[in-house]
Amino acid sequence: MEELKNELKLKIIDVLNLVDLKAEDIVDDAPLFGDLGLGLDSIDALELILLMEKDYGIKLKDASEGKAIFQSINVMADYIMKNRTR
Amino acid sequence: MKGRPAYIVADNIISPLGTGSSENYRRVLAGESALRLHSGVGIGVSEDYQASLMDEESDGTGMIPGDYTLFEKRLILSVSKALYKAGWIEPSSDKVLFIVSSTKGNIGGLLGESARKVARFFGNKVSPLVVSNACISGLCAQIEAMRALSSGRFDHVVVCGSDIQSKFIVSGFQSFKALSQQPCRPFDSSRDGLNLGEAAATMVYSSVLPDEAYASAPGGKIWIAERGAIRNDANHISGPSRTGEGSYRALKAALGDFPAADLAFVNPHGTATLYNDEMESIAITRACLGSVPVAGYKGYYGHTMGAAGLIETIISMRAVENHMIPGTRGFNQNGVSCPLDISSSPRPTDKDSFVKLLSGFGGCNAAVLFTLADAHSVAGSQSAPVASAHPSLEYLHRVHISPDGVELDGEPLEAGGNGEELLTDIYRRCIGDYPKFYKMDPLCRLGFVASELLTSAEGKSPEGREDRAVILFNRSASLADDRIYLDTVSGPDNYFPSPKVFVYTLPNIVTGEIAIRNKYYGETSFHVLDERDDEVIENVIMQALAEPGTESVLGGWCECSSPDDFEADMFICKAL
Repeated sequence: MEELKNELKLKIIDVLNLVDLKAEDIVDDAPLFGDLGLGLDSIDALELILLMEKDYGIKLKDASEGKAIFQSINVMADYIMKNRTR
Repeated sequence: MKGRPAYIVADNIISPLGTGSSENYRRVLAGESALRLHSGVGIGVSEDYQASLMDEESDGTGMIPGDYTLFEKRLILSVSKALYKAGWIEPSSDKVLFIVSSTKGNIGGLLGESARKVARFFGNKVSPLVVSNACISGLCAQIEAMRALSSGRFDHVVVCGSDIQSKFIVSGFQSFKALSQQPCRPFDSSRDGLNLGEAAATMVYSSVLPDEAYASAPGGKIWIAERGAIRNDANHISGPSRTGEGSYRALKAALGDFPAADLAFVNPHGTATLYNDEMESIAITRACLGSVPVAGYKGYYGHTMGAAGLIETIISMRAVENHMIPGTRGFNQNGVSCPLDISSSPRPTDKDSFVKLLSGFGGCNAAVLFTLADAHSVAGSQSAPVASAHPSLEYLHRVHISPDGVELDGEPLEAGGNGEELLTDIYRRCIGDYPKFYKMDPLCRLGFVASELLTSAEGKSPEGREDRAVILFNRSASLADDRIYLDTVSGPDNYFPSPKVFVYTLPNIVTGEIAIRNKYYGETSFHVLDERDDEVIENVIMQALAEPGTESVLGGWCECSSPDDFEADMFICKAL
């Protein structure tokens, strides 16, 4: 699980071009979206939907489904563990 | 700006619903639509899509001789049908300007080149303009036409618009989860996205009317484009503002003190995405138009992108001439937080004016007010060209960036790195506090960095200003990013359309990025030219500065043909 979380952080930094950020800067249970978290926006959410599909074989229907899953690294990793097809 | 008036003397629509504006209007009034479910496999996208598409075999373009792309042929066909109705206009005259409205044109080709080919087909040798302002292009092109006439530089302007749907655009909108597989339902509680569409349309604008123009005016009346405005949300490059900021501001500027009670209807963008329609309901209500009927046409045509602003204006004109408010096909039950007066079926009206709205990616919004006037009352009011409409520009600050180096107000700036690394180096040295920079495509990075150097030279500027416009020009539109995007959808095994790449394939996003960073609510627009022409750039900017409410422009040349090949020559200027 720790490995998956770290992998996820690196992927998020890469896919969302968070150049000034390091994996250890992202706290496992901190919100990813909004001003309190990483400040990600709606386009980032769509990119994360693509990442889920491309790297873990998980197809999400729309952005609102993504919202619940992309709460934090913890929630995301947990969802991937349970649903991944690759 | 109160120069010469802008009359609309001829128009044409070519769409899946028919050839000619009147036939299109009849079909719309009868509730017909060309929206159908199309196979995704057919064009190489992952899901089927609902769209209103033209048939290349039967759209009439087969009769156009010569080496033209389908996009160019559709424009030529539509323009020739419109010009046929305005036989007194000699299109080869240097008092005639061609303006093309397109979001993507020929993917992989150059929009400026297409525009020149279309103008040349009609013997016109004036440098044509291409307005590529995402979904609002069709209204921006009309506003540009009004300004060109007002300045006295041109007597007639041919405005034409089109877009061709393809794997590129369909996959991009799918990646944004913006498409509905059902016929779209504008402002309805069950709306779940937009449909794409294809069409070509033309509007011929004139400020000089011979007697035959009055004679051919329907019912002795003639259309006037009264006022138009473009405003930015200064909020987000793809998400509409939650307060309807830019749309509300554009609407307010376009209406001025025009009484709401005299409007037959508001013709909104009404794409049927959750956020667009919600945003427009807020903007319309904020502008105190909540009781004015609303009529939207995406349920008949889908979103025809570069043609949308023209088609929807023309359908609205026909409707007002016939004392009707078209129905909003697909609407059943209110689904926006500020309920509007919408009906799915046509209603009568006795009013002679309407206002047209559009909103688009890059946070841009446009509104134009149109009035059907008594031709006799305007006869003779077409005064001589306004001689004083040519103030020259005062350049306050100027920046030049190319792979060879950076110069700000004539002084070289220390920055290193090859090609695109140069832009990152400038960002690190001089800016550093805006990590969104790393998300931008090469064109946006260039324009953003240049604008930051300009605003730093300027010093403190008021927050939230509406009096500054951002107006940029280039040759390659978003060619560099188009190639990057095409790589993400290159084949069945490599099909992961990326929304963050797709959004930057709209060249006007760079103007939105600058507006967001600086909280500029003023006009933002992007023009594509066949080649750099500083006189054209200066004229367009001077005409923008003639608008009330616009005091200064951050603008200029912003060209990026590949990540390592770019040139920005941008400035902050005002009218002398």
